[in-house]
Amino acid sequence: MECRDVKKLLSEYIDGVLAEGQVPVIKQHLVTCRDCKETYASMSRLIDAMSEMETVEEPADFAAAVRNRLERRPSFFERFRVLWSPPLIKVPMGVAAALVVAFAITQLPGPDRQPTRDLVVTDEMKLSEETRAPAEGRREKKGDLEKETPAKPEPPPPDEKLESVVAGDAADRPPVSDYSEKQPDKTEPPVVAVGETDTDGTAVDSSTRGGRGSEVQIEIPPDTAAKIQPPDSSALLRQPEPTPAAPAAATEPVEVDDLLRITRALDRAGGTIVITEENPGGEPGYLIARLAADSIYTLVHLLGEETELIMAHDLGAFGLAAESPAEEKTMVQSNRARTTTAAEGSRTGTNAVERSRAATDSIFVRIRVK
Amino acid sequence: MDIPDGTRAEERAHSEQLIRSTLAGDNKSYDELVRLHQRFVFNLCYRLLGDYDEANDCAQDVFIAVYKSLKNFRFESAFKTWLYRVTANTCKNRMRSLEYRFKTKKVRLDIKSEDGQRAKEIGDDRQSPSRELSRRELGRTIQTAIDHLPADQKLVVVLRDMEGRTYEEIVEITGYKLGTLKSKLSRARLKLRQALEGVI
Repeated sequence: MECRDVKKLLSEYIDGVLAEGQVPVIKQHLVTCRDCKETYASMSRLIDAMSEMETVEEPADFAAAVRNRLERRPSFFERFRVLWSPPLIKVPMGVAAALVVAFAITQLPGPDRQPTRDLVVTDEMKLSEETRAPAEGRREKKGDLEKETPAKPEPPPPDEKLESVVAGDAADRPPVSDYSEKQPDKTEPPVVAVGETDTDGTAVDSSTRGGRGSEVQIEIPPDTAAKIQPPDSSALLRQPEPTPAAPAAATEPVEVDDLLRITRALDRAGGTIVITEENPGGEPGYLIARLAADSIYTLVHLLGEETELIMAHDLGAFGLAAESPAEEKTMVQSNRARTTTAAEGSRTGTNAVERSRAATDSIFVRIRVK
Repeated sequence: MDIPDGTRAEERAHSEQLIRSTLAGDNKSYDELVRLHQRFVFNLCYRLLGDYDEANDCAQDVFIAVYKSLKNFRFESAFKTWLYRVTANTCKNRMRSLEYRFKTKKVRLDIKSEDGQRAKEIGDDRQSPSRELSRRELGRTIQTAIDHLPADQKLVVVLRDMEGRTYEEIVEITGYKLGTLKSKLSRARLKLRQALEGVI
């Protein structure tokens, strides 16, 4: 046995708890090894010295001090003294840092993250709500936004230019607060966003007039949804067949607050909505928008992970190739300021979508709420 | 330091009677229980913490904690063993606290002084054991050496060599396995011997 092993066993040898088979070995080694013998002797003296150390007297009023502490209420600092004690549950530093970062990302409001529940309803937003839920009898899904809406607010001030955007008779429309609780009238076409129009009711890109946030004015014909065929109906855009039990009146576009969020993000990213699609059966719909290619990262950042976003260079990738002048008009109305009108495109025989792609480095994105 | 078995049995029975009286609402019984055990609790705290004031605060914390959890005592083991366990855990928590670590700044034992001798003036705290036991040079040096041991080794060497606890009792107090206890005790003693070379 080597000296290192012997020294490890000296403690047990001195206490008399060493295994009987090892005792003679240690004894023999101590006879022959001077260094280990000295270690044994000094360790024995150390143990004797420690056992002979005198006890220390506690303060005379120790028991009284304990009694006082038991009877008085803990002081402010004593109550927070636990903060200086080691935690009972230890979390690795890396995990703790990751949790803090995750909390900061998901919970703390950032400059580009706008809460969707604490919306300040401006006139522009009210109008957006009007145009997305225009009909009598429509009932939105129950949500916080509806709950926070006053029961009977004042109807928005009449605006001739604005009302001309909305299909149907504006006088028949209920107040804003009723919109979210009414079922859509399938006889009315869905209308995306709002804005100024020409006196003849044709949608005009108001961005050319210096306006902001209202440059999208598109009326979507009621049969647009039926004409649009997605490239992969099972993957990203589910359009379940309407059943007799689920009438078309129950169709729902994207949620109001989601649509607000998306339109705001698009607005900030400089994008414009090209088309919107509502799915029968209450499935979330989607939007197709156009924006500059270098703004896509801004849009992705603004939308966050809750929103599915697919990019393409042309609408054909989404199965939305213009098949008729009316549909083409719908697709390109938002890009009128940068491209020729749909009517002009039709006259020249040039596909408006292709021209718009050639004219700018814009891309189309399909946005869908997961 | 060993106590005769008969005395231990009497002490255990007396402690348990005081506990029952305390649980029945007699506060004076708990005061007597404190006085019965305060000496060894205070000394254990002092040996483990190496500071008189720290030991005083910690020993009071021990009796506060014992009072609050007295209803959980099941009379299956000796009260003193349970008290040892509470004291050891309270001291270990105190040793890990930031407050304690900021307060105890000591000179390492293995630093040689200018004349080549091993530094003997180790503690520079105003309430260090050296001040309380200035006339007991050896005890002070040993205590300071113990202060520099890791907490687990410090606990076992104090329980074994100063408190005179048996291996079985230490296993019950600390929760270590017997082999672990032997290993820790051996390492602690070898470290102390090395640190006190030339003193012992």
